[in-house]
Amino acid sequence: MKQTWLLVGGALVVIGFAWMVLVGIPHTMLVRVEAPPGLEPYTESQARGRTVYIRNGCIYCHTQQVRDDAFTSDVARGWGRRPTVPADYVYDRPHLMGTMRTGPDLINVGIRLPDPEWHLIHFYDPRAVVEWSIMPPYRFLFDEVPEEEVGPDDRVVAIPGRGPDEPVVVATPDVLALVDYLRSLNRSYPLAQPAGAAEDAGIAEPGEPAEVDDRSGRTMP
Amino acid sequence: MAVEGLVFPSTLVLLIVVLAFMAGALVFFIWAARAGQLGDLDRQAMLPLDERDLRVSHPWETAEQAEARREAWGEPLPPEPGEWGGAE
Amino acid sequence: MSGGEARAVGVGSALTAPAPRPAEEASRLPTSEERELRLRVDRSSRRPVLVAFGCSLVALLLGSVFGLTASVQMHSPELAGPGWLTFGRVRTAHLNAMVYGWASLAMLGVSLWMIPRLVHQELKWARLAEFGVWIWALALGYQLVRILGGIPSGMEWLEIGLYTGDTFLTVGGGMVGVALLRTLLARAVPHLYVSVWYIMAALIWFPIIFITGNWPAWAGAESAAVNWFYAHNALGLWLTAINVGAAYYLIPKVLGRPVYSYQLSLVGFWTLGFFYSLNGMHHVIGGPMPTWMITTSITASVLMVIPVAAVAINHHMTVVGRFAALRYSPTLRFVVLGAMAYTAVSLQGIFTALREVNRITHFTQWTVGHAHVGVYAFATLILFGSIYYILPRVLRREWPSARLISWHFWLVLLGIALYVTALTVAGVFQGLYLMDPAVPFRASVDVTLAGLQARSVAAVMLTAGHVVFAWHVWRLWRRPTPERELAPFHALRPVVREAGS
Repeated sequence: MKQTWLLVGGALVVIGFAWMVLVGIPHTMLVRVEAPPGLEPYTESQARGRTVYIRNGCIYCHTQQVRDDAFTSDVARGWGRRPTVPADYVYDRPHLMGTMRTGPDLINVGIRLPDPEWHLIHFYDPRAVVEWSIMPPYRFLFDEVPEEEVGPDDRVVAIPGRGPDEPVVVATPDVLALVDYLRSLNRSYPLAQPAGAAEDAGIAEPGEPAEVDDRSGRTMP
Repeated sequence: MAVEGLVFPSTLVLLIVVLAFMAGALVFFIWAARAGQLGDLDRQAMLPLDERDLRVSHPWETAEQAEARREAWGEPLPPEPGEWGGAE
Repeated sequence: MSGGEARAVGVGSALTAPAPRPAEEASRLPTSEERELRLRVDRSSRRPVLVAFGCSLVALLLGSVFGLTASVQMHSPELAGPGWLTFGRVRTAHLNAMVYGWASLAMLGVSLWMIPRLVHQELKWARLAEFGVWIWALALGYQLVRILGGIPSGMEWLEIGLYTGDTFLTVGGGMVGVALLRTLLARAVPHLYVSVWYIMAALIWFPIIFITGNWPAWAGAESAAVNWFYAHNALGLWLTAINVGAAYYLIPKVLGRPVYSYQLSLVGFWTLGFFYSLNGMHHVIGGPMPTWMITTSITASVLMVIPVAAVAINHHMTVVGRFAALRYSPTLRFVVLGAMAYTAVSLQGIFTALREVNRITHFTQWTVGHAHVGVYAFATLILFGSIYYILPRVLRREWPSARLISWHFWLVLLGIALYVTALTVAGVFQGLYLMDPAVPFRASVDVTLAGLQARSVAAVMLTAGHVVFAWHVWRLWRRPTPERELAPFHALRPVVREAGS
């Protein structure tokens, strides 16, 4: 090539084409996606929990998506009753779909693990409830205070194996919000127009609800 | 089965998309070639090479390669320390 | 494709240097003038290149420590430490330090040195470029601290804060781009060499994709689409483009012969732009995204075989018959291995984009291994090779030690080989276990542990290699060996050192 303008113009055409195909056209389609009736916007506390989720990099080990059950076993494993669709994410800014399953998928964790106490113990010491877990402990999301200084509003977490002489573990508002967020994760509601939505999104119809058991990583006693 | 429902339309889309891409790329090349942008490429290919790069003796070359280089560019120059990037 | 492949520089000339034709002979500068030109051009880009390489090395060392820390934490989670040392943040600091710090800054350095050389013109607006590099580097340093304090934004590859980070990277990179474009417009040669296309196109593409990715307007599934539009293009149109461009310069330069087929390089460049830019959605195969988008990306991924083959033929066929040169040139050793890794990572990427493979490898350590073949075995090795070639010419001193280069080479080569093998094998088993609903989830965790531990060993080797490299650069920079201060590589006679060099 000899001309600078050919290079600059060609480069702009190339990226412009890709931009139209993968950003521009999808934008006109995806902004029209509406929230299904079963999906609630995040409450203030859940939104705060979502921020804590982002700040601590949970997305690097946990996905939030159930893939097409035509060629994956996500539904069979019990991570959801149906594959997730774009409408499930309308309140997600940004998306937290993730790219890694070092830990289990979380988009329906609110159904699998509804007990807040379990989550609090798990964040403080994952191996206290899941012996084989490689999740890091998030002790910095808790305060350790002497028993006599515990206030009436403090949420004391009963960590198994802690002696009576040790200071008690109190959950911070951050971790309580995080638990609130996780418990809200539930994309099992029926879609308003399952056929239409699935077709629009090019996603197969939801299958039968799967048995939820410890194949999904749940080991709650 | 759902799998076929996914595969068949995507195969058609795939075909159209491939053809569209190919056509676009082809048109671009034909246009650039006709505009004379693709001519004189041999000289362009020599652009990064200084005469020194061509004349300096490359110790890894076979006798024939070295001879061809000598014929094309003249008597070889001795390389310097670090001539080819990095300590000798 | 261009219809001109048949009359390429050709097989014959690939084996012997082509005889100069009369017109060419006349257009060539006499050797002495070429020498003066090189000296002048290298001097013009000296400061911004040195700043870019210096900052990139700091980021390389920091990123290595972050990477090693995150790696150890993954199989030994009790070593978690306080909040700023938690896995999610350290891992993110590692990625950002390596991609935006080490690789991007080193690539800016390579671009600032290579473009003036290729257009036979001094770097214009060099102070602007230098200032741009500083802005990029300082903004990134601040962002790394912010990430350790709590990741400001929740999308992979886009974690840097919008106003305090992205804005400055865009402006800083833009200043470098403007200086290089100005240099290009003042060029003293009629042609633009293939490396110039790659580098200049990358400098145009990057701000467009970077601004698109960071634009705060996307929500829901769309933000996932934009996320992967950006992140994949950051690899394809930024890291790949500049490093392929660098290899297109360094391989012919060291071997003293033009690339195998220049026509093919044209095909390779434009098909890379067209197909790579459409690859992003293969990161969400089976996910909540319109199928046609994913299909488009899978198609484009498969079509990547065209540019990859073009570049592979050009890079490898230029070296064929002269592999012994790898013994003589550390630069070539790194660059040729990097070019081989580029072929390998691209073919692996095409393979991984197929639904049948992706359903297993998606969400596993396979992807991490694949990413490191790309960013490390390909991009980083080529950047090492480039720095080995460029720094002595800019500093006008020879590297002090062949042994240190050897140590660096073998540590990083064996390190990355172990890294990739460990995670690829672990990833396949992880994926197969995840795919079988009868296998408990626990098995998919346990099966990766050996691979994760081996990866930590690899991380130690890579970090050690980087320390050796940084130490060597430091010695080159601070303790010049006096007998070699004669501006090597340029002159057969001593050249008077200019004041202040």
